[in-house]
Amino acid sequence: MLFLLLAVMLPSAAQTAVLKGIVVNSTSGAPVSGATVSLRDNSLKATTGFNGDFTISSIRPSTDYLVITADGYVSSGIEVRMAAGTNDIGTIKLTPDNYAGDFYGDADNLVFDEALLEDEEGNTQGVAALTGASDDVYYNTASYNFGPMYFRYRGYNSAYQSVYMNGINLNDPIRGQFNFSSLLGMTSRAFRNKTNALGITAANYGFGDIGGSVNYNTISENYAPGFNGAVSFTNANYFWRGMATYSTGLNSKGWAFTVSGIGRYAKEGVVKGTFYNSGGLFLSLEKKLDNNNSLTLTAFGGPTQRASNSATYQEVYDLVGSNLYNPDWGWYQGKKRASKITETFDPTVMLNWLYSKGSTTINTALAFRSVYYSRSALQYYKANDPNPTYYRYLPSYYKDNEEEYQLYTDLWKHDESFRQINWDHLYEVNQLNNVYNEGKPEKDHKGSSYIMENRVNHQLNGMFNTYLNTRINSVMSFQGGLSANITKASNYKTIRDLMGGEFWLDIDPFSDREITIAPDNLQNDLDHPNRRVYKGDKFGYNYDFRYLNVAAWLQNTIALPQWDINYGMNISYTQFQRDGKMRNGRAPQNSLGRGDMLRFDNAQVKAGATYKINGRNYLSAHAEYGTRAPLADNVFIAPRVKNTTIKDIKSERVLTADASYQWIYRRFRGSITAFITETNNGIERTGFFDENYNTYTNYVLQGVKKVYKGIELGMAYKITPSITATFAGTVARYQYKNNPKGTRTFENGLYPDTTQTVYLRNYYLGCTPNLQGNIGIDYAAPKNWFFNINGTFQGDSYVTLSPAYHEALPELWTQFDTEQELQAKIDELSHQQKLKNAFTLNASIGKLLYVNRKVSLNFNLSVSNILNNKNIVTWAYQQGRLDTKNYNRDAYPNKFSYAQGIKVFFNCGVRF
Amino acid sequence: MKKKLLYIMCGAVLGSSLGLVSCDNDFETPPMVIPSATWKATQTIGEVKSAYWKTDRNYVSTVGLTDDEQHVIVRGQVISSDKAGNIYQNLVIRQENGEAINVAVKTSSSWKLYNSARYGAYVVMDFTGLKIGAYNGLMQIGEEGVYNNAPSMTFMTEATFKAHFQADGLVGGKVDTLDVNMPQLADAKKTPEGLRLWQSQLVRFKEVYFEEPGKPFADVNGTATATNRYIKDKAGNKMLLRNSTKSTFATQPMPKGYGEVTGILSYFGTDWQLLLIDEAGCANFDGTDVVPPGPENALFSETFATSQGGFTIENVLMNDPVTYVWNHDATYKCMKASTFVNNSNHAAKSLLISPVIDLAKAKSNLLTFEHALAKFPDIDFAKQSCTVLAREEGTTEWKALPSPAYPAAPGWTFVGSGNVSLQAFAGKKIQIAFQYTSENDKGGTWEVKNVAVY
Repeated sequence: MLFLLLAVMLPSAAQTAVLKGIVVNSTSGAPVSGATVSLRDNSLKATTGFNGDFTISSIRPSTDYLVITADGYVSSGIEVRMAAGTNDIGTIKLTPDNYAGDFYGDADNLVFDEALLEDEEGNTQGVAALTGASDDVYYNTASYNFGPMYFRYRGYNSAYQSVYMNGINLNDPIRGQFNFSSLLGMTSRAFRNKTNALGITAANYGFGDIGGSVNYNTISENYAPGFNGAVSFTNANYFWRGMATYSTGLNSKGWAFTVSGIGRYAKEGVVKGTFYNSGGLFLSLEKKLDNNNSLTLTAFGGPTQRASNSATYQEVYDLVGSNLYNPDWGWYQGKKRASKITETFDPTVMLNWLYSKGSTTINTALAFRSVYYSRSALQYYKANDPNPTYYRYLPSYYKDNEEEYQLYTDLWKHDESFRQINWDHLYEVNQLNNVYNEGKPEKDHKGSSYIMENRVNHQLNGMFNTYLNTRINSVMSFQGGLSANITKASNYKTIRDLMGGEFWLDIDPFSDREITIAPDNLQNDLDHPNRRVYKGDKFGYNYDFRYLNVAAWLQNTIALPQWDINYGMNISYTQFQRDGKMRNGRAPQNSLGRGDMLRFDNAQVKAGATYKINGRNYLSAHAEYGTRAPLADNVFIAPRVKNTTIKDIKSERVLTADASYQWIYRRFRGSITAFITETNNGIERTGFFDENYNTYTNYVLQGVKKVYKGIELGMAYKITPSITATFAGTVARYQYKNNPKGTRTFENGLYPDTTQTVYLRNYYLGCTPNLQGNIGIDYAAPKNWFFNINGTFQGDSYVTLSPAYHEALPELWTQFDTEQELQAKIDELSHQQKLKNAFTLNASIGKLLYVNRKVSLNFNLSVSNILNNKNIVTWAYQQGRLDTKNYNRDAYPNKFSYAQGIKVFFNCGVRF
Repeated sequence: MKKKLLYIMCGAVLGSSLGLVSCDNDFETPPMVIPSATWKATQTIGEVKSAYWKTDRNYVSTVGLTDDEQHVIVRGQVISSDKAGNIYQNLVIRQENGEAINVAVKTSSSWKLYNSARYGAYVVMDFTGLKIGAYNGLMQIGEEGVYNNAPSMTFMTEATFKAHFQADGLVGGKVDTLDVNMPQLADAKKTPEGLRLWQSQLVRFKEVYFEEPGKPFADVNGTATATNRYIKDKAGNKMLLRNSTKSTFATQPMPKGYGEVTGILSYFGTDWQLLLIDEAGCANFDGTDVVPPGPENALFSETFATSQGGFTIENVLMNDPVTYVWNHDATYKCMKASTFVNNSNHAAKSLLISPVIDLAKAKSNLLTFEHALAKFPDIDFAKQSCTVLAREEGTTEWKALPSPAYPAAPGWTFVGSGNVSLQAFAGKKIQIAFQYTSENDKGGTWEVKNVAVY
């Protein structure tokens, strides 16, 4: 496919002509570097640089045929008329030859929807951020086909990947990672124009991060004019999806406009008792002020409401006979009702001023976001745990009593009202409280025993960014930028539903037992003791993080005939503090008001070089060293209660390097890369309810050292011009490499914080395969048929660790007579369970149909996990608590989440 | 130059690949925490016991400092366990090859002694500041309490215990058990040294039997917290077993036959009592029916209460001035052998022979009797002088029977013979003889009564 833009004739006195232009990816808009651009008649050629740009000088003014070839793209040619002087032919779009853009584009959304998974403690588990068309075979395959176990690029947490939009970094400043659900599933439409930088390679929009970066470009004129609509069916979290996009392109008055909408829906998802409702709107409006300046307003957002399920014990899955069992729903008045409902709404408004003149562009942006996230949960006070998987409701609790064991086994297997939430009963209990209240004075009334609460995170972000990209000469270019982010992140609970009761008493249910020892401990808000709260009221905890970050970066890229070299640095200042809104009874002195301001100065330097052995073989190496500020979410030892932070907070130190060899032949291309990354002074926080102390417990690790190392191999071989076989695989080790310090805090305030060594050295980072491979065949058949079949192996994945199982246990010896017995118990407790290896087979088929010259239809059917493997663990973790009485490892077994079996995705789209 | 760079970069790729194959890659499990005492012993348990010993049955003192102003710290091996619940709120530690002492500690349902003070482990205790004394005769460490309205010892709190206690390693090895017999203990309690040496020791009685086999160790239906049971040795000596109704083995039947019983030798009032640590304290019981002594069960019996009965006397050797060796003693209701005439002993050999007994009807092929051996220069000579023989009817050759039980020392106290096996003559008609021998100027008096065959 050929897109010819315009050839500009400029009057000039010179006798020779100069031709300039930029080559970009037609699907993503990303610059294509390394493309060969040649003028047939003039016998002149050039290679595109870092920004996809090229310049050919000393041309005899004439009309010539310009041929552009690049690996992974369909070659194209255009006629150019060149006058003496500089001729700028603007942007040339190259179509990827693997059809990845069209073929996978719609599946993109599905990948991101799966990214909404969360673990029990509310930490979002992001998948690799950087999906999207790229010519890197390994990366492209990994992004789409390394599933359903979580693929993490080089084992990194997604906080190590930067997501930008028009130059503004949109990663969550408090938790670190970007929340893909805020793109509302519109990645194949509204957010289709993007540029990637893999790993620590240089990007022209920002400094990026060690896990790579992506920049979504929403400047209106970049959208292909016309209408684009699609309806999809899948059997996943949602079943139906409809979306439509209309773009005007740039009109003669300098206006461009894109509007896009999406809706996703499932009355009940593939997991019983879940549902999905989501709608989103996107708008991009551009006004070109003159040849050099344009303004673009981007706005997007939409509400999502969905019900999800929690990880649970294998015992429960086995009893129910399904690894997709969901404990978080039950029948209520004849209807299925969910308890774990997530509601999000992240409206974003952004104004970009784009200045472009000659080889210089400056993109300046101002953005405002409101990021609302709420998850509901059942709460109870002086009543039985409503969770059907509470350990005392399980047969294993009665293993010493055969009669009870049989009874509970039978209930679990055959009584749905037993194995799901019994809503009617919960309402009944509240109703009985109301009956009790009748005729009694107001002060003696009992409130609800059961309620539904919302745990809310609400962020307000104000962001500024400007970046410059300029080319000094044919060799040298500079990029640099300045940014600022000011954020207020509020965290609180609200009453979602009193469930028929009169009110809820705002005290800590878990401090209740020890009320005689420390009566104030009961109070969540000491200034309003024993407060009665009602629907919509904030309660429990209420605090803000106030966050400010300013950063600047500068980068130089040098393109020589045989060398490409880049180096750059980034400096930043970060400050944050906790601002408590309640005087908590467990920490009356340091819970209300602002705590100390924590300040961090950080810097990173990076450098990279590519040596072009010849036109077909390249060697490259990159390295980065720097520090990064800790996350506010990790350094407070009990943020729901108090301002206290861990002592001696240090910025994390990160050192990474990679080296690769890349070959590009007509039929065979690929690359092999070895990488090693060491992070030091890491901080991690987890929270859990500890049965032994009857309190919510926070556990912060600090001084964590991790090493990520491995080899990545990606290869594509064209068997015939239309059939391509690809292989991508990685052998890696993502490990803890020291024994960090751990601090445990009890939220009921009855026990002092404890600090101890946590023995983690050589244990694996949880829930990401250390060994993965995918082999696939693409067939671009005649008449616009596309076929793909691929198989994925994922292995050597381990359960996520809990620090409690990796402490030296001072009392363990009291259970054993000999060192052998003692060591055997230590080995049992500290064992890291290896998850089952998984193989999945996937296939897809696509068809592009031209109704007429303007209208095209496309159909795409993908089936993943064709073998219907229902035993693939996606997420598993050791519970935070340890049985310190009998040290029975089975007292608190690991929890698991499983991937669904066969998954179908059918998409039908239209364009005109 | 180009090639050089190529090699360097290839080397970098290869090098980092090799970095994957690292040897040091085992999971670092948390270290074993093994307790190690920081206190060093300053005295032996025996020294402490001697220093604070009083003959009063109940008293309380406070452990002070040593002569050189140091804390009184002892190190010993734990020889008791409250795991089975028969020993309750007490811990016994023993000096290596030395004395043992009881430590009284208040425990709770969630905290017992057997975890932190494991059976067989070495522990260190700082006694200074703790109370030492006796509770109804048993020396112990603890807290001040009251017994019969008088100051006495009781249990210290968990917190006090923990402040004065350090474990020193895991179980240190085998726990030695002292073999002991009842007559020995009867003697030992007569002296403070004996009491200090034996109180709270871990002891084993061999060849003893339960008086009431088959009954539970403790009567859990009663109101008492403990039940008294008895073991007996062959000589009929008894030892009290104080069994808690709360122990894990309280309802188990006591074993049958002869066997070994091991436990902590405690003391109450004026006599010993034995506390089993657990059911394993009863070992190697042979399961035989031990016939309770008593004429009503006997195949043959002769009490010698009024006469020499059907027994005959054969004086094999007897010279002037001795005119008889065996003689009936009406006062002590026994047969008595002696050659003490004119203020000296004389050489003699005399047999007191039973009537013919038909063992074909015997249930147990056992002989029992009671005897006293007095005036002998020592017990070994007495044992040589006083033996039991048997012969088949119609033969003349006497054969020695297994040794009966003898008293620990010569004296006028009657002791049981224990079961003397007649198994060698099972099913036959036999005669039994009590053979007395003496030498000139060396001999004693042997008294025999209550002879029975079962």
